[in-house]
Amino acid sequence: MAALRALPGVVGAYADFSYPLEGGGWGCAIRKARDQHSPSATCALYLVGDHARKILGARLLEGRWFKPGEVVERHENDVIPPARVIMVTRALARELFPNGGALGSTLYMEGTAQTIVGIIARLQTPAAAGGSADGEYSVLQPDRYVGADYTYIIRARPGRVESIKAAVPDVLRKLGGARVIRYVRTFPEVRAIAYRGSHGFASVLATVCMILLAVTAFGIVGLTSSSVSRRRREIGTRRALGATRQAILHQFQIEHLVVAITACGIGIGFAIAANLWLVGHYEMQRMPLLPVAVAAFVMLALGQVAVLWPALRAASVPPSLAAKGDGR
Amino acid sequence: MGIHPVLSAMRRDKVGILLIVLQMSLTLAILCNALFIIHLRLRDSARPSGIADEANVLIVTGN
Amino acid sequence: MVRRAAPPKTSDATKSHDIGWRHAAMLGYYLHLALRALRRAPILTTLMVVTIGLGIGGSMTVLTVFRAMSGDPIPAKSSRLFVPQIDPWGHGHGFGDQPPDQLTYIDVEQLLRQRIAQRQTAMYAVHFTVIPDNVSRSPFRVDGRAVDADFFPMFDVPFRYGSAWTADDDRRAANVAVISRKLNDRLFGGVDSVGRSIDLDDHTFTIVGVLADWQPVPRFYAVPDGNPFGDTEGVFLPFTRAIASHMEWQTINCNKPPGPSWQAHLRSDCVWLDFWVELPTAAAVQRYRRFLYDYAEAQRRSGRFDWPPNVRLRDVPEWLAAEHVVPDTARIMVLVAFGFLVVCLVNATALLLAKFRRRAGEFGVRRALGASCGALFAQCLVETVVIGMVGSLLGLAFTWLGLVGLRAVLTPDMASLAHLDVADVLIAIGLTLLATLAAGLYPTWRAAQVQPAWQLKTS
Repeated sequence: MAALRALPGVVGAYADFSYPLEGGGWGCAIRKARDQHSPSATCALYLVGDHARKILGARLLEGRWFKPGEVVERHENDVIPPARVIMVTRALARELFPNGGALGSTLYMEGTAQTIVGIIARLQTPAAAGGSADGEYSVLQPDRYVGADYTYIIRARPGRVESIKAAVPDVLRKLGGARVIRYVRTFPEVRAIAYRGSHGFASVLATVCMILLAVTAFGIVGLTSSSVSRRRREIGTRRALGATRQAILHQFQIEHLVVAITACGIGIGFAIAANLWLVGHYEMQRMPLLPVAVAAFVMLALGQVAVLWPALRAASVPPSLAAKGDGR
Repeated sequence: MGIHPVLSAMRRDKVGILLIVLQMSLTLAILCNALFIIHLRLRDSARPSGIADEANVLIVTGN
Repeated sequence: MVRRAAPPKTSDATKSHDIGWRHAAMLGYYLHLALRALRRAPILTTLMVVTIGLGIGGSMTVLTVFRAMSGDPIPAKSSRLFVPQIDPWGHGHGFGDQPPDQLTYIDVEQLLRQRIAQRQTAMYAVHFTVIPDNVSRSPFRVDGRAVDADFFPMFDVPFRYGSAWTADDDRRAANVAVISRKLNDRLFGGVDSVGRSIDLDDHTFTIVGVLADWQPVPRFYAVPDGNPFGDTEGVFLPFTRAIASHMEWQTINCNKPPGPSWQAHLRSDCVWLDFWVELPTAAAVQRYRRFLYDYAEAQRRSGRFDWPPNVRLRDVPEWLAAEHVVPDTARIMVLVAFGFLVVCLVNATALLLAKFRRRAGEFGVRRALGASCGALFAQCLVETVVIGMVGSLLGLAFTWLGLVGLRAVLTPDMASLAHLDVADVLIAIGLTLLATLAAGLYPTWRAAQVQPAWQLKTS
């Protein structure tokens, strides 16, 4: 640790067993009374020592940061020491004390009393990428973590991240022992890995949507052109009776608009039904009207664009064809 | 030009119109649900971690 | 209006006593007509083929991954392997009404001792630092699993070299290990390493077996430890050895803090162990259920539990369902994909309908020349099937493309699921056939209803 802190460009470093967005960490259960049966909230635990302010840079809302005198060593499977101080996130404070008054309150973790001395704006839990409601229920303790599995959280001066990243493996290797470095990652890399599944899912969905729109657009083109072909005679007659090209163009556009508006009306019904079904069966929220409106607008616009080419073809039908008798 | 010729033209091809209405409405239903899910995912993944100035933080793990 | 009528001489009129030959000739003729008709309307045909191809490709891409995720990892035995669960806490500790998905050491010790099942294994995930013999290579981390000797025959684990350790090794807590093929390749260049030793952290183990490729998907036996789609462990070692060596666990759930010592950890109510049993008959399952219930009841009488027995005995499919191994996102993706397929089918139906309507004139002429409704129906059906077949080939190509795309955006563990197998290809072909028939039936039927005389007037 000292060797890491001595690296040029390092602002500070501390050891913990986990960090935000890692994936798995230490969970904890909080009770407001010592003998309460079910916990009031489940949370994630961080051991940050007295360096957290400098390194995490989380915004303090109420109370204070940990003092050097409060830091004790904590080994991998040690019990939480009693009568200590903790800091919590605003989200957790609100969950536990909806009416305020979290600061200075005593909570029970693993049966030991802990006093809240500070509240920070936010700090995500290791599992926060899952998107659950307790993604910010973090508890900070002023302990210095000692264990075989290590995680160092290092803050670099601006612009020095890459050089430090390159230097870290050598520094650790020089310390000797059978140390395994699993990875050295910048936080943006951590973030990208944590959300890789989410982004993958979103991009697959987006691709499906694009193809879906393309299929629908091509369907409209195909159907309208075939309708134009079938109705050449009718169009010719109308042209001969004095309808302008523009009128024919408009006719096809309006025809399609009527169809599209009907479809949107029914589609909105389907969409809301589908959303309600998803809410009932999966972890899903009620859909606001905005995506529905956006999708309906996209559909209408797409329909008009798709219908343009066959409609222009219809408009170019010459009036002379009308002579050939009644067609259908 | 009125709406009348439009409706009469549509009456002649009922099944075709029905199919395209069905297709467009299903597309719309899938589209907005998918957009909503994408929106939720992107919103979740854009949440701040609480760490200030993330770009200058390094994580080293091992055993 | 340009309309090309069908050739005047139709094979409908062919006189033949050989029905089989006649049908073959008709089919050939319809095929010829179909190809010509498709060539005549290239845009519509292309649109239809592409639509069906995209629909099949999209749904198959998603279905392939979903099938891999939700597949039976051990089909031959999935209904004979069971996970016992015992609630050591009473309700309200984060698992709802369900007992936790792992067991305490106290309970595992009892289950092991009582030996009610034909085969049984306790297990937990561990990890090591491997120190290679060759000093020039740096140590690396490897995941391991502490199991009993029964683990290997229970889960039909294949061996490349050597074999599992013995029940006697379990009793002696022997320093033996079975390693994965991957680790054997990395450490020993793939040669038979049975009898050689391996340094894990500060212990030396003797290798008794090297696994052949073994990757159950999902990794059903390791679900509570996290990633069910990850790689097989590199090292397996006796459970008794891991306990005797105080090897660190990977996951633990406690309702109250254990003491700091290893003994306190073992005597605690923390759950951190997996347990599997093999029960070959319904009677054995019944007996084990009874045993679990009686065990929990005995714990209550002895004062350790103060709640009625809350136990479960789940086989592999029930276990995977209870653990939500297939994520919601995968299920939603399947819904979206099949919605997409339906849209494509509706689209194909509409296009086919338009196409056949445009050729009402041609059909009228053929009817007037003596073709029956049935003959027209057959002709249109052949055309539909041709479109379907080309669409299905395109669909397979799109599926392949889709899977390449998926592998690029999914996490590495999930990406390994995005591969086609023979069953997937067969499903794709079956799906196209069904889809084409569903899309083509109505337009085909409609086309065959054309009246002969009425259409002739316009030509």
